[in-house]
Amino acid sequence: MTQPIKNPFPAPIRLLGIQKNRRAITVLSMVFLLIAIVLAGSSQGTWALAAVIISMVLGIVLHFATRNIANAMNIITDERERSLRDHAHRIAYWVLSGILGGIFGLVAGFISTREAEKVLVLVKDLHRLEIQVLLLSFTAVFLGLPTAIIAWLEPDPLEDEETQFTRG
Amino acid sequence: MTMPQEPLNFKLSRVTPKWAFKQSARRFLVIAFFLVPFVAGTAAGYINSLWSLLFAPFAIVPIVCFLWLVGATGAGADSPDEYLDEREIAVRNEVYLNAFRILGAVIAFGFAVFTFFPDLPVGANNVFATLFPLAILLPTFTLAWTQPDPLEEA
Repeated sequence: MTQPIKNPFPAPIRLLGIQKNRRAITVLSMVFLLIAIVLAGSSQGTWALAAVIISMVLGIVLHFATRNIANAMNIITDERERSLRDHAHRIAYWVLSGILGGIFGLVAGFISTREAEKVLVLVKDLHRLEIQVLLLSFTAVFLGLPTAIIAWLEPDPLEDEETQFTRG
Repeated sequence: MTMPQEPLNFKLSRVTPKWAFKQSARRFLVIAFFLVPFVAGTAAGYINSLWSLLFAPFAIVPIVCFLWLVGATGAGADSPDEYLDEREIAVRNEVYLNAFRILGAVIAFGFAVFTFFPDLPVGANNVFATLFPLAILLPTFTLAWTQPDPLEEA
């Protein structure tokens, strides 16, 4: 006869499995990212850097909460996880391509006009903390968006998965 | 009862020439999409006279290439779930995973160029204008590049 054993994961990690908690962390991470961008825009580089780091830490928590499905290779995922991973990337692609298309369009427009100098001045200032924070924010979005989407979509674990494990 | 109207991108499959369905032809079309306007635009820029208008018809080439690629892939990258079977949905979604990674590489390359070569020439807008549609078209290109040849009986 199979014996139920105690769930091996400690309570805080089990809480991450619940969808509403994952969604709350996702929203919090996005809010901190938005704060970072706003602070960088108002020349408060240090606070902006702090905000983007908090956002990235929350992103890492989401990676754990979703068991890093977004970056898992085919050989270690089952069919459902693979489907979820690819679906999340599809949504993330359309979100990012809008941002990227906008940036490329703006840059192409600026370079072809007399406003080119403004772009070049901005680019030459890459050593500025505010610009680095903006680049870091974009990197955080790129690396974390599929995970955030999975964290949002993945339903609550089944009752028996959450409360008891069976041996045998 | 009215029949649902066939989407436009499915109609493209019927007007696409048969040779374009082969994988090698699709890859050729992807390369031509980028290469032809780049070479024609650069050459026209160097001539810098009315003779450069001779290169204007080459602007049609990327449009034709893209329409044929959509037709040759059966619009698999852009179709909604209701028009695809389970296998096609899986293939389409995997295409987006690869496209996402390629897009990431392009962004990283762009940042690297800006960081190490901040003094871009004014003509650099041609390159950005070529890259501008990439974000929209990349899934179709990825599917066209990776999809194997159609089966013999198909």
